Amino acid sequence: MLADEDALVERAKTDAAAFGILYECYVNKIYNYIYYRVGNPHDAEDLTARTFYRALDHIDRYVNRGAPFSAWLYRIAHNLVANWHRDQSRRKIVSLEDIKLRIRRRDGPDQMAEHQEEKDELLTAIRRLPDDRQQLLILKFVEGMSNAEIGKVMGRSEGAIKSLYHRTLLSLREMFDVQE
Amino acid sequence: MSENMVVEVLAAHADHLIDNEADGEDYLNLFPAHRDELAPLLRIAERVRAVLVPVAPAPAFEAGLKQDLIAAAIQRTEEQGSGKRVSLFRRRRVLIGAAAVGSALSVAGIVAALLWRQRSIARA
Repeated sequence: MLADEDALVERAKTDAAAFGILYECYVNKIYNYIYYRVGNPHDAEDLTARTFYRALDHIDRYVNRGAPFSAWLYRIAHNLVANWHRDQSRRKIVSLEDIKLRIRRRDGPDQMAEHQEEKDELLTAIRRLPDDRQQLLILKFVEGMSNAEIGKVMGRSEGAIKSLYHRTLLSLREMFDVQE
Repeated sequence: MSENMVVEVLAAHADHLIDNEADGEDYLNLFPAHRDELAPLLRIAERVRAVLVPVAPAPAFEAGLKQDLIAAAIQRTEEQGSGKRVSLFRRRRVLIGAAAVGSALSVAGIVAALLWRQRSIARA
């Protein structure tokens, strides 16, 4: 979290340059979060752009209620990702990235393909988890946040985050037990 | 092992994983009696850690979006400013209109009073 985040957010309500600074601070975090939720860079870029446009449209209504500004951005991103998943389940389109992965798997050396397959399986399993568990894993391992920081973003206590992490690992273990 | 203890062990292991210092084996050696319970969970945590690596958006996308956002923010600020100007202009027009109506009513009142006075004098 930025030291003068509150002041910067206030300025960003009327000052385009300040909004640009906020964007610089959070674009990677939001992109990472979305990328791991949707699984391809094309949609991750599209949803990242939409997240920041929505933030710009609504920033004058933003009120700090004790959570970091990033919590507000993650919530916008989360809602857009949820809508995206709803649309995808209606359309059932196979993404170009999926097709590329399949081709790469077929063409690559066996060991590399096997390793890639394992990674893909785990990522698929992670994407099957409930939203809050996916968010927890992304914030913890991609962003390297502490449980206390994750708690602030997700609006839960540190203890609740630790328990959620435990339950998340149990779910993943179960998924792999079933698969194996 | 109690559930609380498992929760704490996994949390500590994850913190060390983030710092690239964790070795699941260290934790298993600390609790040898609970190896069967802990080992699969520590292993899956390490696999998740290995898969969820930070990615970066394409630099062209990142820079292009920043430019577009700043342009949109400037336009928004200008629109808000002109919106304020329009509302001030409207308020002034309403005030002028109200003053005109008030003046017209006053003149009509004076005329009515004069007419009433003239009639009263004529009757007398």
